[in-house]
Amino acid sequence: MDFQFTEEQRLLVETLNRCLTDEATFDQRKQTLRSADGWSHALWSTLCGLGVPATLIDEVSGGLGGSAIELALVCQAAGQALLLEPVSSVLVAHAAFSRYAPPALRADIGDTLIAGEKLLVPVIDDRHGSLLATPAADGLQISGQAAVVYHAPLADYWLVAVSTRTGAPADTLVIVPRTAAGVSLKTYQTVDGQRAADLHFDGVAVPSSAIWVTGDRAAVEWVIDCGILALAADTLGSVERTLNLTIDYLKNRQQFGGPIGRFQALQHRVVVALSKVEELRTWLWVTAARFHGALADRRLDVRALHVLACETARHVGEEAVQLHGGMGVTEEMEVSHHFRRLVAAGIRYGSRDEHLAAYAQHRFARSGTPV
Amino acid sequence: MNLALSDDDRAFQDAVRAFIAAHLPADIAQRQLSGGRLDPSDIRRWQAILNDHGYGAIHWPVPFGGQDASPLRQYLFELECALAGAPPQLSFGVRMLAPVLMRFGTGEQQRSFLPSILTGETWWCQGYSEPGAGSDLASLRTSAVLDGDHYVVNGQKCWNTLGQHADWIFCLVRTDATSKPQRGITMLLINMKTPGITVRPTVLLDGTSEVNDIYFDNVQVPVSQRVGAENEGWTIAKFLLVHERTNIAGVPWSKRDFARLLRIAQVATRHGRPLLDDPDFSRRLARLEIDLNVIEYTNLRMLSAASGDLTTPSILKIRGSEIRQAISALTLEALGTSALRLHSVSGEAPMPEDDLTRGVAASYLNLRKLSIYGGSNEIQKNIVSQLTIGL
Repeated sequence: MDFQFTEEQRLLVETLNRCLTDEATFDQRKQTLRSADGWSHALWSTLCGLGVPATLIDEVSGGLGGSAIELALVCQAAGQALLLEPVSSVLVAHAAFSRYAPPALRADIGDTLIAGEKLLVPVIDDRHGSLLATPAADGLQISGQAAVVYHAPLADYWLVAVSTRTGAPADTLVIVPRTAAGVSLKTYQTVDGQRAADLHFDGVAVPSSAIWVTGDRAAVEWVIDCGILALAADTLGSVERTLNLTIDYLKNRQQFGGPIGRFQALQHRVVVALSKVEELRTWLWVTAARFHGALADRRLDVRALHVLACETARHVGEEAVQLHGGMGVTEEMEVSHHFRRLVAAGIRYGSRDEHLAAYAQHRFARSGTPV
Repeated sequence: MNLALSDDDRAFQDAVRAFIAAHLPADIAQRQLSGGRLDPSDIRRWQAILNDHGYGAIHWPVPFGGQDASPLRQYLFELECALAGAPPQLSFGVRMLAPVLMRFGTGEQQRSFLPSILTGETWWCQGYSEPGAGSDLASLRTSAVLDGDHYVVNGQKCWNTLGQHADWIFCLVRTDATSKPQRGITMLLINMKTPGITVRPTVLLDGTSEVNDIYFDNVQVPVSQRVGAENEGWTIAKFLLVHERTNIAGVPWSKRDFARLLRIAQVATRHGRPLLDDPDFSRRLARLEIDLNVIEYTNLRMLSAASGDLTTPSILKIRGSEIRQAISALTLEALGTSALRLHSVSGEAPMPEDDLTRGVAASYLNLRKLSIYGGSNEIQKNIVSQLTIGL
């Protein structure tokens, strides 16, 4: 049993973190937030130069062939640095690309995805799930909506999950250019400062060459699980940074003639938060390490991960604001930006309650034979 | 990162399973798995069987009769034992005193005491806490005064676990009352039959007496029974605590208790359906299982790391105790009022061993201790805070 990262994985994290410390400072982020596009093309170029978009593309297509562990490592760094650039969305879409994209498409757009010149992001609205595909002359026709799709406005292509039967969960994956006829989108900034959109599809034609898988719910679930893993990793990075900021604040903020960190009531709250972060860290790496194998049931691992990530995001975010006192609710403090990222993380990809119910259902409902 | 067991560790686990299947007495397993009371003779019997097959103390070095087992193998061993219904090994000798004697004891002490720990012939207990020294152990006052070739010990120990069955006790005593509290402490090994020792059991919540007060009235202890140097006891006590971390989260016992809770949830009903099919209950069960799995792997992460984060043992202690207590509380709730039958009144038939309610309330009451002993959870939080905030 080995919990260590490989040398290459350690190097990946070191390189990335060094770059982000220099080029993704909090001050720069505040400028980017106020910019027209809401994300930094320059920072994205730098990340592309480091090979970030290639991380999850398979080696046959020319990428680095990273696994769930590399996905999580990059997203953890993105969360620590509060990135506004679409790192996690792109990497999740790339993981799906490596697994499900048809060969002709790989040859066609693989290189531009690897270089980061073209952006592919997932459109998986499994909660509202009203994207329906019907057979058309050459392929499918899609109609319906997808709400709050992160990074949709800045992508060139969308990896869209659609249903083939009304009321059924999505079971088909197709690629759609953002500029396709019949697509309209309402763009906005989310609570955590990211660009997102509500998408409307009105009879959008999808040629058969753009269909990745059809009638395969397991494939859609796999992509969703990648998304949950990526979000949990981003959350881990964010709560780690939040905790460090909070501990620094408690050491430095002077009241009643000394640092407020000397008060036990505050100390014990930090320890509870730290314990939750440690538990999320454990389960993120367990889930990532077992993601591709037969060691465990991936569906249970991921449901548990999402439950933990939602709870930890909410708890650590709220505690950090409380422990920062009035400063915690100001725009000026980095902690308040992490807090907003964590609020979003606690809600995206379905609620904690839904995933806990799914875990219980999957684990216990086959009556009488729990393992 | 690879979470599969290595072939060697897998083979070790298989061997342990086969050994337990062949040699764990059925009556002991039945008592353990059905919530029966801990029987001292079960512990002695099982220790003898373990030793006969080379499992007496697998974490000990080979020259002392162990296997030099890695922390991971110790965990696998304890897990298999717990799930099969083996009683816990008595940690006072095997886990606590033995490593101390190997490090600080004389050759003569090692030869005299280690073999009978392995065979289970000698039952050791621990004399640490006192009425005025609980979490603040360094303020202990039981005194030992050197008089020729022996110490004369006077004072009172409390919260002494299972000392009523003990042959020997290892004790922290004060040999210097003038210096800093931590400096003047010494460790002595004392035969429980020595004149002047009185053991008075403390009746606890569940009606049993798992702990005792022990009174020392001019008890004479040969100097040869001192471990390490005089006034070196605090160093030894800290060394001992470091060696007691492998299973600080108690995961094997939580897994055993959780398995019982699952059995109960299949049998107990709510509104005419198995409790397991009740959405609210099954979600609480699910949430608890997630915590249990997470703490298991947090523990395994610590065991596998060459050098761990110093905060991890305290976090494992806090969370491990909380989770085990939560399992016992949910078990109590699962059974409802039928869990309130504590034990039969004399003259009536004893509660049958297949009664699922057996021992559930007693166990819930008993396990309150987990967040109190071994450095209370609040003390653990102070430790973590000291390591992180440092104020």
